[in-house]
Amino acid sequence: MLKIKNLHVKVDDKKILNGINLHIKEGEMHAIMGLNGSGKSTLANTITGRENHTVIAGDILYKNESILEWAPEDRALAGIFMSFQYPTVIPGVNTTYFLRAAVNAQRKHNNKKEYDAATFLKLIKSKLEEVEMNTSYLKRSVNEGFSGGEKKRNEILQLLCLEPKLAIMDETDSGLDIDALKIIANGINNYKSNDRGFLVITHYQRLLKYIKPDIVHVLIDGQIVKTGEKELAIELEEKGYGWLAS
Amino acid sequence: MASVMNVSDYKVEYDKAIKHNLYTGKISDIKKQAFEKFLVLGLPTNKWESWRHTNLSRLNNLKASSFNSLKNTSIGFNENKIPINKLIDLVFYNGIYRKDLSSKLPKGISVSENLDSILENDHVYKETPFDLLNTTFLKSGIKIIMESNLETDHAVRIIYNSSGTKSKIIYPRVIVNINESASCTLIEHHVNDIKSSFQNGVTRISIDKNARLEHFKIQKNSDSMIDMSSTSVKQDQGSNYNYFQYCDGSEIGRSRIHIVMEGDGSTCQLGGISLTKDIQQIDNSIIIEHKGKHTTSSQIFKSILDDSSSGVFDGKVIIREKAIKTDAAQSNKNLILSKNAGMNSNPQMEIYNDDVKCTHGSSTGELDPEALFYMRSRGLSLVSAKSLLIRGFLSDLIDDINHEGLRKYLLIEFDNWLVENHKL
Repeated sequence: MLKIKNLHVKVDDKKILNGINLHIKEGEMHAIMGLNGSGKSTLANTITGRENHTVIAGDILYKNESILEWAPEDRALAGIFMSFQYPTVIPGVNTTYFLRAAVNAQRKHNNKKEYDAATFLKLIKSKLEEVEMNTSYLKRSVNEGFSGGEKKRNEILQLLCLEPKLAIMDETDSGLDIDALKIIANGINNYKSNDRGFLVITHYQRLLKYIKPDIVHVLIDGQIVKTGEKELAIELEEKGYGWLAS
Repeated sequence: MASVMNVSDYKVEYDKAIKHNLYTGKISDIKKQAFEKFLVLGLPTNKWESWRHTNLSRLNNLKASSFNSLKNTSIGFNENKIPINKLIDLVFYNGIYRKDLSSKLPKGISVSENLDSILENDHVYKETPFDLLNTTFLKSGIKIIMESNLETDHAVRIIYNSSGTKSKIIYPRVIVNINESASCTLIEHHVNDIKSSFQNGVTRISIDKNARLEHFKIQKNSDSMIDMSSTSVKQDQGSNYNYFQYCDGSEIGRSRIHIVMEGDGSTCQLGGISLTKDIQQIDNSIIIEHKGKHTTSSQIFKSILDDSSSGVFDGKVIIREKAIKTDAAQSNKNLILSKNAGMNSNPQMEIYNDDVKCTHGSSTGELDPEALFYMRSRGLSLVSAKSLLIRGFLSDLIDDINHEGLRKYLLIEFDNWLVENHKL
């Protein structure tokens, strides 16, 4: 579903990605591991179309179509989702209203009837339970006054509501205590299915105790230097990244 | 035709009125005193402290004459409906109060048109040159009295309406006395539409002991109007004043508000929304004076500025020596939607005793690109994302309007403004 070919990217004037190749098929979960500054978030942000991320060479194909020229919302409507490393606070915008607007944008795009407020509220209540959030979050502005863990759970809530085909989880595990980590891992595991792909970006092996990627890549200086199965993650935990850096 | 920024043109107008014996009795003395004071003060320039950022050059080019007759012309009055039951409409047309177009009054509320009492029983703080010109040249006004202990679900709305193609100056004046322990709602609704004209309006409010007033100003004049309105409020002991303004009209719209909290334990809350586009300027010049003990004031003014429009927030909270245990908060936040728009924000506090709690702040910025990307990454179009953020910017102020009919009305007006001007 996602094919990245020889991708070179600069952010503002700084070259970050130096020729990434990656192929994620339906039903697969890929993990990308690497130190800070290796380009993990740049990759996620480039796939989702963030401004200032300029593709100098290469291509990103989603369902065999190049998406480089697509606006962020068009990528989202096509089924690409990113759980943000630092979810943005949006003052004055009510969480339920925002979620319903996003879900209805999807439904409209797919020629489905948009949800009214009451129907949506029922839907979202069942999703809230999955991430162990209570309805009080819904009354607040998006991410305003949320703790780090609450923000990340809110990201998973959006994943569950929007039902994307390709989910990119950018450092979803960072800053979480063990309980929150389990809730989030459960959310991801339950969401995994044969027609959905995952790209899980993480700094540590910690999250990979709870979710099982099919393929693990190591990113150093904007290049994938090693690809293996989930045992690679354990090896990295033991040996660090130094042995791969040469 | 006279220039509205030329002292000698006003002098010619005044001399003409005296010659024709237009002012008689007590009024004539009051007008004479006011005009003499005006001649000493002169008209403001950008060197005056509270006029530094007001676009006076556009006023300089405005030539207009005042309405000379009081005859009842028929008017094309559009209703400007607000979804409130029991709305009592009091109508000014071309600066003249029109009883024939106004509602019948319920028990406990009275309206007088007697200029003697309107001018005489005036409480006056520091008058601006435009206040003095209003006193000198006003032809009509009303004094609204809410009787003691009045509890009413009626809302009194003053409609300032006008129409025509000839440049005019109008001088409406409204005096409002809220007697002891009364509680009521006043709406000032400005829908003037005379081409290239100048409204110089004065509203003076006194709120007696333990009384309460909810005051709304909605300024939706046509874009070629220049509107200088001056509101002063005197608060007695234990009184409560709630003010909210919504302005998206006029080429230049200046609200001067001067509140004096004379009585101990009085409170006031002010909220304001200004929306500007094209070359509009909305200018808020706010003075809150704490004189009594244990007084509380809070103000939040927000502007959204587009195109080449500009805004001014000049707010001053003065806490006098005897006003101990004062609690004052002042905030001004502005959202700029265009490179060419600009805001001048100047929140100030003058504090003359130590036993106070005060906060103030100001911020001006653009739409947050991170928030826009976040929303777009969830499938919202750029236009929807912007519109949600802009609405979000004002949502706290609009949500706080406790008058449901007005809240709904203003939400629709705000949405219309967004849609018309930004294709959202």
